[in-house]
Amino acid sequence: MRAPILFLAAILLAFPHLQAQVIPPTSRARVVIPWNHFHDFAEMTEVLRTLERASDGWMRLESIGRSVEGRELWLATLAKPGDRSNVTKPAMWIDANIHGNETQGTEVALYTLWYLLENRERLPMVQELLARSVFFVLPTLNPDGREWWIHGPNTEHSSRTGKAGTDNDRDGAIDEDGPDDLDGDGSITTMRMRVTRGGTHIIDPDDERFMKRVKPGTEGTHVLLGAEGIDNDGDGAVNEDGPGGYDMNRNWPSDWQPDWIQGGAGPYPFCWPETEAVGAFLRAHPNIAALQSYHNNGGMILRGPGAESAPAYSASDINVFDALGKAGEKMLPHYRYMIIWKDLYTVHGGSITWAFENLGIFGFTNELWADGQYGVEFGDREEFRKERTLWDERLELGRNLRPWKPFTHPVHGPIEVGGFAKTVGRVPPPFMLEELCHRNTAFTLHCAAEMPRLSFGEVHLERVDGELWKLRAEVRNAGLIPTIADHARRRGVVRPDIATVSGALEIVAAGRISGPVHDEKFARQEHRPERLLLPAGIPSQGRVTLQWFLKGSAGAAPKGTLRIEALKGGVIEVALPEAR
Amino acid sequence: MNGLKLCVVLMLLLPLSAQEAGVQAVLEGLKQAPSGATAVPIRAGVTGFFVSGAGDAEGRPVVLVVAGLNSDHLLGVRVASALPLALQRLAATDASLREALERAAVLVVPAVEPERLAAAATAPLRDVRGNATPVDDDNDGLVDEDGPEDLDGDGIIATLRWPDPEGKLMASSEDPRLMVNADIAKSERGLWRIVSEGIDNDGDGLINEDGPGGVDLDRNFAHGWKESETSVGWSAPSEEPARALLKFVTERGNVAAVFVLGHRDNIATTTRKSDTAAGLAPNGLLAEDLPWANGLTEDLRRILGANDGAEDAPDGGFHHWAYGQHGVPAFASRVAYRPELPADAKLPSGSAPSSTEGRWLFLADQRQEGFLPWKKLSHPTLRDAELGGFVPRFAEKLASERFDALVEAQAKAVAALVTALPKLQVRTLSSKALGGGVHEVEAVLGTEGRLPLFTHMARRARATRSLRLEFAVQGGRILEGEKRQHVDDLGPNGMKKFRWLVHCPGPLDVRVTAGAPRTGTAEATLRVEGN
Ligand SMILES: [Zn+2]
Repeated sequence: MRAPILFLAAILLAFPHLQAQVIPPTSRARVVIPWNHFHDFAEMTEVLRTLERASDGWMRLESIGRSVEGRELWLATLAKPGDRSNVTKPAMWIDANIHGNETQGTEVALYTLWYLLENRERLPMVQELLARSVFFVLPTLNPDGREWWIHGPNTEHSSRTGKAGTDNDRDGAIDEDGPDDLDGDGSITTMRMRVTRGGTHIIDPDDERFMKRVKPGTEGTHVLLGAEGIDNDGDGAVNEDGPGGYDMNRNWPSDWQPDWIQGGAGPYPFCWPETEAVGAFLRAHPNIAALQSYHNNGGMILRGPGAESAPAYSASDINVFDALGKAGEKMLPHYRYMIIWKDLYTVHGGSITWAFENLGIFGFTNELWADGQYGVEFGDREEFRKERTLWDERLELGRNLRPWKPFTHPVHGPIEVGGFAKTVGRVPPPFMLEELCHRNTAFTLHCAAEMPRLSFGEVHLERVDGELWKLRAEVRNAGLIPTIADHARRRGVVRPDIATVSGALEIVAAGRISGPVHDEKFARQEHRPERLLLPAGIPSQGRVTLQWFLKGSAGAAPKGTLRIEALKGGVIEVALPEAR
Repeated sequence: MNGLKLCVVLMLLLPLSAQEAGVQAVLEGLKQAPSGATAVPIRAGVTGFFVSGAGDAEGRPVVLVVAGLNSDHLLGVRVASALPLALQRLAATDASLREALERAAVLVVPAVEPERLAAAATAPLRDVRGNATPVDDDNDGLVDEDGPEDLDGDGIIATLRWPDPEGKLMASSEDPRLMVNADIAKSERGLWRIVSEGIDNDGDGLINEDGPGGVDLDRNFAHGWKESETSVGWSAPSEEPARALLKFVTERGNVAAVFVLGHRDNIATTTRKSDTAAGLAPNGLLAEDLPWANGLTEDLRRILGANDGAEDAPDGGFHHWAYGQHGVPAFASRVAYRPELPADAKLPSGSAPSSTEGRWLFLADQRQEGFLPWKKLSHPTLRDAELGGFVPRFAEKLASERFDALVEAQAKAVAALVTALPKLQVRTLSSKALGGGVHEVEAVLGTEGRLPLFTHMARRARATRSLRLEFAVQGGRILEGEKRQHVDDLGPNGMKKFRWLVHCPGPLDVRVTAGAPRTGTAEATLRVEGN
């Protein structure tokens, strides 16, 4: 990366008006938000409204649809007030919490909004980023799953789904037998029962809060009965058809596979209102050039492809992903940059793969929070539990471990209920949430800063002969992200960039210069030279050179405007220079 | 002025082509259920017609017949509209169909997207596979900017051919009017290019590369969907009519077979067997489903006179989805296959017509219509261009003349599907006293018919609820056996025994009920004496 001082100097040169407005970064926050708290839907909505009110027109809140249970899908747009070029500027999309239990992504998204708004006048880098980009932020894609996870009885893993009724056990009844919070503590923990024979576990002699599996052939004193719950529908199975039961991150039309191959995929792509609304929004905003979709957990910066069977990515696109992903590894200790199918598992029909493969948007999924961040090494399952307990006691003073409590179960009779609450494991401890929010925001803003940044290089006009003139222009992209991903070019899913010259002139021919400097070649666009198409766009941190043969009016040198329109790079214009 | 008068006046005012007038009549006909059929709403403006025997037809297994997925297949729509009455006529003389319609039903949806039919019928005559959704086919940022034009004003979008040293086509040795790919291996040389009639409206060097509209509904379903192609929609299904159809089928749960009338065909050739790797959706029939599929396909081929088919690999067709993901037997009929040619048929070249096109050309020659001889035409960008070739929808026109016979054939095909549906029965229900008021009750479940209760695909895809078998003995106690159990399948024409041990203090009724939405329900009751 460039030296930061040089970079700042370059910004100040480019935006001299910034210098006067810089406010010391230590000044008091305009809006105070507790960053050690997981917001439920009402609280999240209130935070968004507060931010919008305090934003001086920089933030606009709108609902892009409604969830299955009728909650608004709040989308915050951050854009320079009253700037007409907002619709063509490169935009970054940020969403979170598509899996209802993957809670902290929402806080990261809120933090990103807050951080950008707070610092829009304090920090030149923020100011510059906001001047040339737009941010679309959807803090929760799955408000129903989130609300259910926060207020309903759950484990750290449950409530991944949305809340559309699903007949998981195909018995004709919908969501009729989910877990039950027998002890009413808001978490679904484990049931154990004392038995006289056939026991599989004993109470751990080292620590009576834990169960220890006995060796095969030995009798234990207890059996474990699984997650808290009863057989609500009397079919002999416990908790076999809980709320929802599908996966909205398998519901996007890129390498989509049916439910029996890709669990949770749903009956067809975009079958749920939440995914449908986001899909429609992304399609309607071709200026979105970068994307982040927050999940938890494991400490990963994930990119596609999602499956080995999906088409491979081009080397030039992989270079872009690699440069961003490796920067992320440095900014996010304990996080690794990974390829979904290769380093994690196969995902058919994921959202970020659809965005890249079908819309040409470079995007990552950050899996927020890694066990290693606890600062302890974890061993096998039993070791893990003990380490986690120790950590819970010493750093969180026993917030998460629920001691065994007696309960009379309708089928099993006297049992005990206990284990870890849902608030440990996949989400960070609250006191570490702010750091998580900040580091991930910083990485995502780094991606945003690397969206296409177009400018003209050398532009010159010279007389060839008589009334024929040659215009040559270099178009540069300072961003890592090209205006058109190579994958998108191959699939024809992003409109080519368009170069036009207009004014008092006539276009004889237009085309691109290719080849090395000492052996340049002019490749003419055979048809429609007035609309020069650049199907490969302006490359990553690269340039293209364009050339026109023009006739001026009445023998005079051509006068007019040269214009580049890139769906993901914005529009730049320059007046034709004086002839040499 | 009342509505009817207004309508009449409007019809007089609007200059309708014969084609459009035909469509209007068809659309009018779709508004009312034919006598003996019940209307079922599919979505706003789309109605299905339910045909079944007496009694409550709700909940019976259904053979779903769908037409009008493509708006240039009006023949399918017309034939489908006539099916309810044709099926009733058949049932009057066919006892097995009559019996099948007592336990199953046929649901005909003649036009999946009726609003598109009228628009597609406006002059000139052309192939309009896609719907009205704008698509930027050539990804140039301009949408629907370069469609076909009727250059010679004959009301027909025909074909342009022009000589080009880089062309890949040459005149066929079968008949020089036909254009075929040159085979380099045979030292042949391509000299021509072809494109549909029109000009380069947007000056990009291509002709008709981005015409009006474009999503092919019958390639817009999520099985084998070709996501990287244009004209197949941006999702599967992305189009409202396709989504509505799919929702209807999945929500009702009792669709047991599908029959599509349209451009697609999977009947004329042998069934395609899946050969995909594990972990991916199958691209044909599962081997376990071939026995029933091959037999039925052969019957349908005979009934429909289906010729001219190519192997049918899934590419987002409705019938592909119906089998591949919904797991029901699904067939696609082109309705009008090519009429058989006389044994001594000869083209002017003296050779017997051998290719598909050659055969159609023979028919066109015979009728002096359907093929336009190539003629010179001055074209704004093509040098030495000629206009000619097959008239769009010639096959449809030819078929309209044997409309009644086609309706009859499609009705027989649908009847073959209805009668092939499995007939679930409790074959026997018996008991044996073991003493002390304990009885062993035995039920034999059986199924008859060419189709299994569930296809292998349905079970693989978990696309169906399995057969639920319930056992009830009121006032008694079950000592052994399940009150409720799920049965995967009985196999085609299969039988299976189930036993329970019950204790009856006095004479009691035991009842066995078995069923699933796709199979219908069978039940039996038995009096068991106490002690
Ligand atoms: Zn997730």
